[in-house]
Amino acid sequence: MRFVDEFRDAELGRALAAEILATVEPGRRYKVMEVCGGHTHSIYKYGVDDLLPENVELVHGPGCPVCVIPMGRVDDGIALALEPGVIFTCFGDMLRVPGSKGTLLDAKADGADVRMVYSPLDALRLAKSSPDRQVVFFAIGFETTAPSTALTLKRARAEGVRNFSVMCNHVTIVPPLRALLESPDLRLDGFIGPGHVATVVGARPFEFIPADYGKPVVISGFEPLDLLQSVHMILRQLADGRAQVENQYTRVVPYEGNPAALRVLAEVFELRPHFEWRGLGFISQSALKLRDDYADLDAETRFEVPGVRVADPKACQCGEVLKGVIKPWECKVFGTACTPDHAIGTCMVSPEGACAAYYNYGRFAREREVV
Amino acid sequence: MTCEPGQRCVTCSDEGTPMRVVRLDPRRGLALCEAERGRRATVETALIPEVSVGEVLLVHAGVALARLGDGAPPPAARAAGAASRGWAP
Repeated sequence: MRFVDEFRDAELGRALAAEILATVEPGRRYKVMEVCGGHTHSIYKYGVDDLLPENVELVHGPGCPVCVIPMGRVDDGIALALEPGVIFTCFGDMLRVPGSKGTLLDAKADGADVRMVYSPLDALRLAKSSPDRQVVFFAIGFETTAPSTALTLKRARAEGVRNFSVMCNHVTIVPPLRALLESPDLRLDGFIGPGHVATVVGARPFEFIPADYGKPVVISGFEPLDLLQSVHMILRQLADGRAQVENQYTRVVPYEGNPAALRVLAEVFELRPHFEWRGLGFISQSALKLRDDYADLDAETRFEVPGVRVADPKACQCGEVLKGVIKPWECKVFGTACTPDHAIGTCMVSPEGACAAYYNYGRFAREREVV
Repeated sequence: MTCEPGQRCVTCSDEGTPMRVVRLDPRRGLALCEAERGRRATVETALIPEVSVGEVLLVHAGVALARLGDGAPPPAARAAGAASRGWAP
């Protein structure tokens, strides 16, 4: 398909790898964080890191929305799923995320009506076809996914669907990035910016990174050539002594984002004062809640939600992985007690989590010769 | 029921799928779209002005977020001559 195949061309990939090699300064080490879980997945799926020089290291960031959901929110979701008459809907990889007493799949095995959907609009259709049931959608995701939830809520309102509600866990990307940049144990040279979040918010919100922290950002696509070119653009900035926001993903991302999506977000959501992130703790104004105008469609208003707070498991080092302080394989339980089938931490649960991506595609890459 | 291990969840997280518009239903703000391997889905088009049949949209969680090919190739693509043909829309 056009816009896909040409970005997987092996010959061009090798040419870009050669350009990258020619750009790096011998003896200097480079650490570049890919913010987005989708990037992490592509890097391992296509072996992008194997094409990079030995002194260029990719660090995996906090951009997997499943990975950052704290256990307490999962427990709250399970409590809702167990309410009589509720059909609880969510995206697929949320089903296996462990709360303190099990997963949503465990709740389903115990009799809860938990169903996977591909879109919140599917959940709304389910509500319309099941008028005697209460359908709850467990909303997760960054600014990429939030417009879909917002449009669904607007449709529910317009069509007068009263048995539909949303438990909102949407998060925003800039506050955790700022928190990461303030972290004293983090050493990064630049960022591969989240292409699909930028589709909605544009490139402008990332300008604080070069302005306040002097580090380059390149908004990137998700195909292997996109990632290689983005690394090259970051290294070019470093070589030139520049720090600015550049947009590699111009075939999708306008610098100003999608104004219609931003309008619908502003109409339906407002910022929460604070929200808990797994491994990162509470971060101010880092998540969305439904505005008062939509309170009747807010599952946390419609139902009694326990508001559980649970500490992360002691053995789990998801927090350090999310901050890029350690690599997935450096976690004490990686690949032994914690695997995709029996995950302890959320980075292993979600296919886009750094640990799962590494486990599935890159487990043996460290032993391969670096090109 | 759940995502296959090793597969990317097609809707959640930050996944975006390029899909070609096959048919439009402007009254309801919907489009029938087709993905890379022929998978078809109904897509909400409220966030993209003036969608037409045949163009490629970036779809996430059932909603079109962008139209592909609007932007010019980035400067670095033009500079990296060996790679330039990959970025021309």
